[in-house]
Amino acid sequence: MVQIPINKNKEAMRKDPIIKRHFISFDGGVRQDASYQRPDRYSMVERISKHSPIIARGGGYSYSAASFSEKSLVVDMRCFNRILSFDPQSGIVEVEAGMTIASLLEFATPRGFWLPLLPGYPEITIGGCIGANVHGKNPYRHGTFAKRVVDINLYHPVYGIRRISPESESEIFELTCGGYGLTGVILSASLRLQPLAGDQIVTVQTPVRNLAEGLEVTRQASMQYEFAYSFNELSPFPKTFGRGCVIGSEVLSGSVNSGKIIPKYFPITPESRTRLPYSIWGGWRTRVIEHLYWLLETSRNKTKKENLFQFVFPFAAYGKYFLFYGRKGLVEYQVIIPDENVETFLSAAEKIILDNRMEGVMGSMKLFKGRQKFLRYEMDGVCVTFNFARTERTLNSLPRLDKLVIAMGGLPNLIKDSRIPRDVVAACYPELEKTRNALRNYDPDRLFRSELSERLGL
Amino acid sequence: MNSLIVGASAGLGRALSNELAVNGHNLVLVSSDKRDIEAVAADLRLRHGVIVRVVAGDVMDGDTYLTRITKATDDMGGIDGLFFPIGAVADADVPGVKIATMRRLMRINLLSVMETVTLFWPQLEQREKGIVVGFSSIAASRGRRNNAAYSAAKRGLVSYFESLRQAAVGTGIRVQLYMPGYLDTGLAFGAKTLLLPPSRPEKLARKVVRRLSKDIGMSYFPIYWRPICEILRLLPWSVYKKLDF
Repeated sequence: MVQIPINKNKEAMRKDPIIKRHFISFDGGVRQDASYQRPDRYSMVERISKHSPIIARGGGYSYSAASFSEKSLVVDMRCFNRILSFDPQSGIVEVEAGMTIASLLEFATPRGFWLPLLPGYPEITIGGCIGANVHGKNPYRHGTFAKRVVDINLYHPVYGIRRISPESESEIFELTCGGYGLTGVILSASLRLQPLAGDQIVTVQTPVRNLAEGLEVTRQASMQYEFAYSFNELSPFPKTFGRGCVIGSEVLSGSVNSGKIIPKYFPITPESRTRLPYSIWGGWRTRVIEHLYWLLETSRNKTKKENLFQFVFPFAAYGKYFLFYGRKGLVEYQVIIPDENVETFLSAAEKIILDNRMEGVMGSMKLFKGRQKFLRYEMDGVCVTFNFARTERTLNSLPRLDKLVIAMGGLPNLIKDSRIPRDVVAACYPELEKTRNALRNYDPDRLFRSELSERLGL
Repeated sequence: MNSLIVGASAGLGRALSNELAVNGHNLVLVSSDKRDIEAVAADLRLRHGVIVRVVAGDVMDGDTYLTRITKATDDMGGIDGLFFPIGAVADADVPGVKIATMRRLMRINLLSVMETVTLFWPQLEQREKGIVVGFSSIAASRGRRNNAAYSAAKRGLVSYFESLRQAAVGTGIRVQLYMPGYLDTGLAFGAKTLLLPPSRPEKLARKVVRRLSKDIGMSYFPIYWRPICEILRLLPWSVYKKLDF
């Protein structure tokens, strides 16, 4: 064959296109246009400019605008969704950051492993789980996602690719797990999976009449079951407020299905969530839907068996729950309240919601255990979640809940609230300034920025 | 079945590699970037348990590149399928562009395919079986001022694959050429798409693998591009010269 001498000039070839795109936080609270890039090669990530702000994005399911900002280049990492290595002995798997948790489960489950602390929507990416240090259905027993991370490959345009772990570059590792993507682009991570005894879950539901009873039963269930949390009605009617059920679940020992465990589901995105022009939730409509749901749940068998996927991702089947909030969206108010203050908090919060006729829809409680550090949503206490329809009345009343949380020594979840102001965060997170300084020491130009980081003055 | 995929690390190539692995093909994957192609290979081995070898090489490297492909396929015990989801575009692909850019476009989009087929054709003939699948483009329908070398290369593929198909008659080799419209890959990301939404490359990959045993000749994807391209071809010059797309 003849060797053909050719000039390898790649400069004129088309690469790294950047477009303008409209972004919406999942709760509908923040809408901004930003520059957007979708790399599908490592070299593209490495060519990102170090002269202007950047923020990495996964599935875009964070309620706050943690993965975009009008001033930053949004780097969509979903093409990086490959499994790089897996050790069946130790259960350590290395995956790229754009892999969805559903895809990870699909790989791990037939091999006898899983992660018991996954958030409730299947399209959330591993990078997002690390950035938000997510928790699952019993953080009291399983902790948060950071505990499962062995090491991370982190890219920063100034430092290149660094492998960080609790043993090597531990401060950057601590800043990255629960650091909202502000230390760089997570390329891949090694995760320690947990052996799985079976892929069927047995669930026991216990009806509760109000929040106080819900708390008591949730506390008992957390000791008794591997997974425990409550669902509570929040429509602003005193008689039924807080009514609901406590879910206690265990993995059933038995065979693990080697086939596909993921059924078909209708995926919902931050954009498709806004399709309905008006909210179905609100006033008497919430009350009617919740009452029908209550009747259905109390008439059903209290013990049920379900597949692992349905259990881990309840919102895959009930995606319409988010759709029903309409174009304006929802407010998710999630806080950890120290154990000794929970009863006081619940009764005061109930009074605020009812007195101000906030458009509550659904609430939830679960026990939490952890050590608070930097901006991680983690400490000992009870995690209380309130979902509201995003209305003027609700938004105007939220500062009252903020004051209550500060008074109770609570910790709001920054990834769940696109509104939460800096002064509230400063009052609740003792290490806000320390985080700010650590980020500035590591990256004096503060290259990685999002709407969330700008709002918090990071 | 052992298959060679040239341009396997991203977009359609990656989707096709995955679909072939799902269907039990052992693979030789070729791409310019070692890290990307090794990540794809690791993923396919772990998920689907198939044998995957990689060749990280630039099609511009000519003989060296072809020698490395030959070695990888020999290690695999020969090749039954050749797949060419390879493609590249340039920002300013107009007449008068740098000669190096034009050469690179022709090499990636046309010559690399012809060279690799030329290398493996005797092997396929000897085995009296095999499949060659190419991917042209709707851009091959008519030459455009903004896509001059790319359109020419892709139209060259149409002619070359017609020749291959005729040469394959009676040999047991099947030759297929797909004419994809806009795909949701890095190649079309941010490009004007004439109001038609880009299609998922995974969908095309599934279609290709599903029809491997069929003598389909040339096929548009999605199918609605066929009448659109026919109309485009029939437009009189007086009209076509005024179009700006």
